[in-house]
Amino acid sequence: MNNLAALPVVLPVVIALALVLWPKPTVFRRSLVGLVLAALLGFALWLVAEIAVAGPLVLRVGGWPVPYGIVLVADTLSAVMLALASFTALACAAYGFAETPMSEEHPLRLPLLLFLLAGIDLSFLTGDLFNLFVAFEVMLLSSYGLLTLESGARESRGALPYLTINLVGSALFLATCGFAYSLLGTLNFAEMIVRADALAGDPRLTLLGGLLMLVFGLKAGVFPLYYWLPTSYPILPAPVAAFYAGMLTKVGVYVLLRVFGTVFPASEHGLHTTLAWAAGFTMVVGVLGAVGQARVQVILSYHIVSQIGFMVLAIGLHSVAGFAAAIFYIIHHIVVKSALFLAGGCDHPGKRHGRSFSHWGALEDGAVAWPAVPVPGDVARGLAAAQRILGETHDHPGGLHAVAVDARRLLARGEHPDVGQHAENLARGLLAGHAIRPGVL
Amino acid sequence: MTNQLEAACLVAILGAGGVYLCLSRRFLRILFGFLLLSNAANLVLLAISGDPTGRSSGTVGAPGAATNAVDPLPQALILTAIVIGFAVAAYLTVLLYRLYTDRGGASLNSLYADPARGGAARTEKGRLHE
Repeated sequence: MNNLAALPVVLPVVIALALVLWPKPTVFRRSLVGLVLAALLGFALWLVAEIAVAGPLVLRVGGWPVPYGIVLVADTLSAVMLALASFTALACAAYGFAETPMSEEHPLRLPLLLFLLAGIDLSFLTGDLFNLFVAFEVMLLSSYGLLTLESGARESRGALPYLTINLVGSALFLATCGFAYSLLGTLNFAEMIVRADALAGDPRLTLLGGLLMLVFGLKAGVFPLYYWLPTSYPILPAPVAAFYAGMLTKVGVYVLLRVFGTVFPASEHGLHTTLAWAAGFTMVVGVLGAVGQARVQVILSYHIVSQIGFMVLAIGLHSVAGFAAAIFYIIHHIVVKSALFLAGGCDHPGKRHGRSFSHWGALEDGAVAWPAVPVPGDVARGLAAAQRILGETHDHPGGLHAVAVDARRLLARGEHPDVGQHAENLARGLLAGHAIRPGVL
Repeated sequence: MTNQLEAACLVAILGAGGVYLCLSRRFLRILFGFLLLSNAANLVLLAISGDPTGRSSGTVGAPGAATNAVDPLPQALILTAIVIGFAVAAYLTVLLYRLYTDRGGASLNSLYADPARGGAARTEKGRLHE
């Protein structure tokens, strides 16, 4: 039973290896990937229900006792994130099948997508800091591969900033693992919580927290380490870009939530305040970066940066309501941002970057509607709005205006009382932030 | 204690050199900078297992292993990290070579210059081995 916790990692890896061995794109290959992703989604949903009844699923790999060996832990949050990862992967793979004819599909795209999913799933499941490093590396290596796999000579340069910053980040992460082990004597998250609590007030603990903040902030795209994001995401083909936009930075946010929400005690007030301030700058700078851009995918990439700021700010507040708001918004953001990237790809199939707004004819409608959709209202409404964009953008941009009005009405009614005041504030802040763009335009 | 200080100095030198090289414009220097940085990180892990003088190796059955062994866990970590670093270095090499063939230059100048206008891209050509 507990061995099932490894399934979301093992299954994609096995299937990906099989796909590498049989590289010729066929209907069978595509349906296999679709089935596997659907099965993973079903499994993750079952896991959510199961954990709600029976409590977290803990797998001690190799049977080693808890503080020594590697553990995989599936609690409600990781199960929800697993479901989101599988769902996004399934949607993006299906979009890719529809967009790319069988004969033009790159034989490595699907295996790399599955490896990427395995790395993401492992980072959600792991209960060990060093294993998290391994998960990040699996994820990053596949993402490096996908980034340049189908890019042309003009686009490949966008991969270099992404690669360089992540290489430096990985080296720093590795060294930080070492520092954490020498300071706390363990790399197990659950054990780290206890020992960090005992060390509260020690400046070395604060230093460790600062280093971890730097490393995970870099992966998440927090100010001032965000510049790699808007240069690299737009060079991807639409379905892959949608998966990156939905999942990759959110892994960084998820880990920030885990580490700064649980491991570092509330007495490390300085760390949390620093995180909140960095998040504040991210919110503003990301949106301002989008102001000068005209292409859909570039604008959406800058918006990811800004929205990462909202999530991280909620983590930096270090309160129950803050964490609830962060988790709520992460879930919402993953679904909606992926849908928006797919919508951007729909608008101009087969081309990267997305089309310039000036080609849309109704410039003002477009400029208002695009930024207004990813507002934290409720997830279902966001999805519906994104689906309407998916359906309507192509034919008549006038439909976008209706979506914008819809989103505003939603906000005006304040249809999310249960998430608490923070989500409310975040929503208002986000709308204000995004209003900057059409204003300056 | 002295061994630890030496390790710290070595990490500092490797780290500083790696960052300096990573900030350079030449592709080859970026590659070597990354190699130095990952070695610096590995050395940090090695130093974490403590001063090895007078202690036995952390293998099962070594004399005195139960009481006076060097902590073996960081060494297991380094082993993993070296393998991962190797894979990443291989990818970085391939990407830099691809950029060289795509853009006709082995430095960042060629990436951000317009190849249609020649200029920086042309002057950088053939400097891969510098």
